[in-house]
Amino acid sequence: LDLIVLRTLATMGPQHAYGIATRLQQVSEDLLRLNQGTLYPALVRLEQQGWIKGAWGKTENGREARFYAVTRKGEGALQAETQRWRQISGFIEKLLWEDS
Amino acid sequence: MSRWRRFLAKLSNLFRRERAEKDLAREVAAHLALLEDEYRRRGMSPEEALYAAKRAYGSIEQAKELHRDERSFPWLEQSWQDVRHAWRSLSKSPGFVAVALLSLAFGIGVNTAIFTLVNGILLKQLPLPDAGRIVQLEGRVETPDRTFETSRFNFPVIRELRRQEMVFQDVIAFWARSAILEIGNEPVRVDLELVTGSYFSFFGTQPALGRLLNEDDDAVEGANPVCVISYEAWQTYFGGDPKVIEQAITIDGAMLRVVGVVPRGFVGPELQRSADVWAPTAIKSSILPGGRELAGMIWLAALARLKPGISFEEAAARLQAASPVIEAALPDERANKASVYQIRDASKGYDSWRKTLRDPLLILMGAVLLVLLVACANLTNLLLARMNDRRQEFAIKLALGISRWRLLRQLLVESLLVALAGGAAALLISVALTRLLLALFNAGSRYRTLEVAPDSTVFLYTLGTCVVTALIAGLFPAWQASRAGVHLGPRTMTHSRRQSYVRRSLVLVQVTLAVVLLFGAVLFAHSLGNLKTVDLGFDMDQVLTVEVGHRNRARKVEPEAAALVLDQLLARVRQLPSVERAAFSNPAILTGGMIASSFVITNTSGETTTLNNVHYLDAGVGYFSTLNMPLLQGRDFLETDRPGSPPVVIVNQQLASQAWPGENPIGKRVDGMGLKSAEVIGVVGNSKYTNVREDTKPIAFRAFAQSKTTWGALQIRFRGAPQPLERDIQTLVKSVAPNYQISHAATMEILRDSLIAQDRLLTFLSSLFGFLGTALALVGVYGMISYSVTRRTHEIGVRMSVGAQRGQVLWLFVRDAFMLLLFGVLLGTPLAVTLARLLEAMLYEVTASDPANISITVALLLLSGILAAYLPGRRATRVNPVQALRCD
Repeated sequence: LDLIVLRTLATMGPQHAYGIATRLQQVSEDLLRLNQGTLYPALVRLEQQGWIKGAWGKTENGREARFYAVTRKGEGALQAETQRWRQISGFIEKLLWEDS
Repeated sequence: MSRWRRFLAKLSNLFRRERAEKDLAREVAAHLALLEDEYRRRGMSPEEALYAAKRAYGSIEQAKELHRDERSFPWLEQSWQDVRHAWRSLSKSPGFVAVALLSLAFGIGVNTAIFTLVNGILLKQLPLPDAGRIVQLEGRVETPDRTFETSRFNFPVIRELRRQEMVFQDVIAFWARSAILEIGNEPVRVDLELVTGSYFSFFGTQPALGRLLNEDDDAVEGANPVCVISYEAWQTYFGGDPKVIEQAITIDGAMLRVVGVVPRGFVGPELQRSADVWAPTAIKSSILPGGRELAGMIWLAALARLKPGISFEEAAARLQAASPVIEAALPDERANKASVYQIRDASKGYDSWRKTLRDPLLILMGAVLLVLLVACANLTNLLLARMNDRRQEFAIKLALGISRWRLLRQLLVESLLVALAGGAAALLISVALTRLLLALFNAGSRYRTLEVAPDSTVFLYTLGTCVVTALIAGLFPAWQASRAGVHLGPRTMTHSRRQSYVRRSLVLVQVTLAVVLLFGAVLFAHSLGNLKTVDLGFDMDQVLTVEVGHRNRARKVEPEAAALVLDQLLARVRQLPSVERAAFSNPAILTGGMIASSFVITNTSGETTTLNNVHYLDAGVGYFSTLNMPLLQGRDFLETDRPGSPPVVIVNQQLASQAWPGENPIGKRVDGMGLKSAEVIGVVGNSKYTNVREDTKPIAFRAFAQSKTTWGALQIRFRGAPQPLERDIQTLVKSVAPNYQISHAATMEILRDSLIAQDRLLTFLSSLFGFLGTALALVGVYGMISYSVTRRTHEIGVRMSVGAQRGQVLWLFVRDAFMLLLFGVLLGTPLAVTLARLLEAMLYEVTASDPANISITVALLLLSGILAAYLPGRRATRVNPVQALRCD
């Protein structure tokens, strides 16, 4: 989940939690129906690791919301993590292929 | 890197809980607002939109909880919650807390007190970085007659040992004794230690003021009469005045120049004792007769530091190999010839206490652990009862979704809190108890006083004990509670039966351990009683012993002149109104001083027999009547037995029967004690000499007037209190013999008590532990019956309504307790008797298997146990059957 959130933020630019949740639902074509509240732990983790940074701002409708943006460090981490994910998923893929 | 950063962020959140919480609420609200906007845009009514948003969001509290888990250390935050929860829950039941606290405070308190002693005497190391290389020197002396070990040496030996550079880096020697320091007009008793030159550099000590003693001070005999004083002595006797340097002080009649002050808290060769004044061994001849080179004088104790890089075994082997060389270099005329030198580990300091106190301390430590176990069982029982009462609460908590682990933790935190509070109270108790113990142990001790103070190790021990206690006592009840909550509703029979089984077993264990503790107490008390009532052979009540001598013992005093002074003094003492009778002796009995001589008997046919090692003492005129010792045959010493008159001797019954079995000893002739052909003029009853525990010894008495001693001990039978008499004698000595001083004034009773100080201490402690163990076990019995009465109120009501008498109801509960007590006694007695074997070496004329001791223990326990059951049982008889039936 951390990786997905990070990826979303990287492609869409600064976004609030609601935005991230909506976006995730769109991208996954409603496959991933999560309770929007479950996003928070991921956001906390990412922020504490210094990969994203949150700041209070206003939405286009004038509502206040906390916007999260990927930091420089977060970008590096995203690349590294993506790399790792690919490796692992490739590996699992291969295993599954061999088994079936 | 990022992990570290996260840790810091979590840590900071720990302290900004409120702010993080506010931020979170704000974010959640914002999120919901956005969702609501969205739904409204889709055309829902505001109300519908609100609900839809909440639905899409999911459980708000759950989300918050997830957030909390991530942002900080949930277990830490929860622990804090647990502590506060425990505090609230405990403060609601002060009765439980009071009983639990008291049990633990005493259980842990006695543990800490005994551990303070164990730590101070058996565990602590010298505060030196290389304590492991410090050894203590000993010698094994092998003579054709016998082989013995010695830990004291003459000065030439020390010098030779210092030359063993292959083994030792350095060797120091020291000799301590109490001395009289004269400041102004007030003489004060201080501890003086004569030390070799490298003593202070051996311990790496820096002076607090001036300089410390060095090799030059100790090089030439008598050349440098200097000394250094302790920081405490500097503060007490000189008011911390820096001008003390270069000041001359008089100690035991010798003038010494103060050159420095030893830093505060200096630890010398021993951890448990320290001196007030240190002087080089080179000044010995100005304090005691005879120079330090005297090879016949065995006086110095020695510590050595092994050479770096050499192992203990290697050092021991090398020293043993070097022994003949050392021996060859020594003067021929000397004591302890043919010694083989040995080393012993002294990383814990020079051993004056460890050897003798080790066994008693370990036994006491075992006893206090038993006491703690009994206290633990108490706490467990209390907790079990408490958990049972709170089953409803747990069931609700579990139903509300608390995890079993969390519930278990909450309950453990509760018991930990109780244990820690108990531990804090225990520390106070232990400090007071330790002080009391040391005072008791040192009371009347003439030479060495034991000093032990608690330190961080003791604190850690107490803390550890608290935690372990909380776990041992709390784990089972907490586990039970966290498991039991499942079935809400009426208590199931099987459950309460198992619990009551556990509770009973715990009380049984308590009773069993109490039997063991109580039995130990009874044995020690019996032994002490024996020691106190043992026939000493003289009447020790109202007898004061005061040693009198020239204030400089090194001074050669003419025996005639001394005799004149002492006689005059004795005459004046006898005139004092509170004095009934008085006489001189040398040495004083029961002080540890002893002299012995061989005793050559010539029988009628001219053959001689020699009795070796006959103890003797010089007794003045009136000595036997002063001590109320019976004169069985012949006559007492008379004023006419003067230095010039024929030498006379009195023997005790034991010596008479050993030397002249079946004959009349009066008129026999003996050689010995420096007398030639002395006539036996009387026989007195047997008596103890140096110790209360000693067997009956053959003892001879020489006439004090014929002994040429220049000092003696006044034995005074007095009326009233000893302190005023002591002051009177002090003034008398000042006016009659200004060059003389009195020392070691003590009543016979104090002397006796100091000889059995260890027994008194052990009796006091074992009684305390026996009492505590029993009291705690009784609380257990009381609690069990009391709980059972409450639980069975209904049943009692039924029984009484169908005609049961009050006595029958009472018997129901008392019988219950009695069976348990009986079972505990049956289990405990064999255990106690077996364990008591360990004590037998410390007991005086008491055997562990003596049925009298066992019956006393059993009777005490059963009676008090039944009383403990009777009190709550009586409550059962007051049950009103109508009410009892109505209430359930």
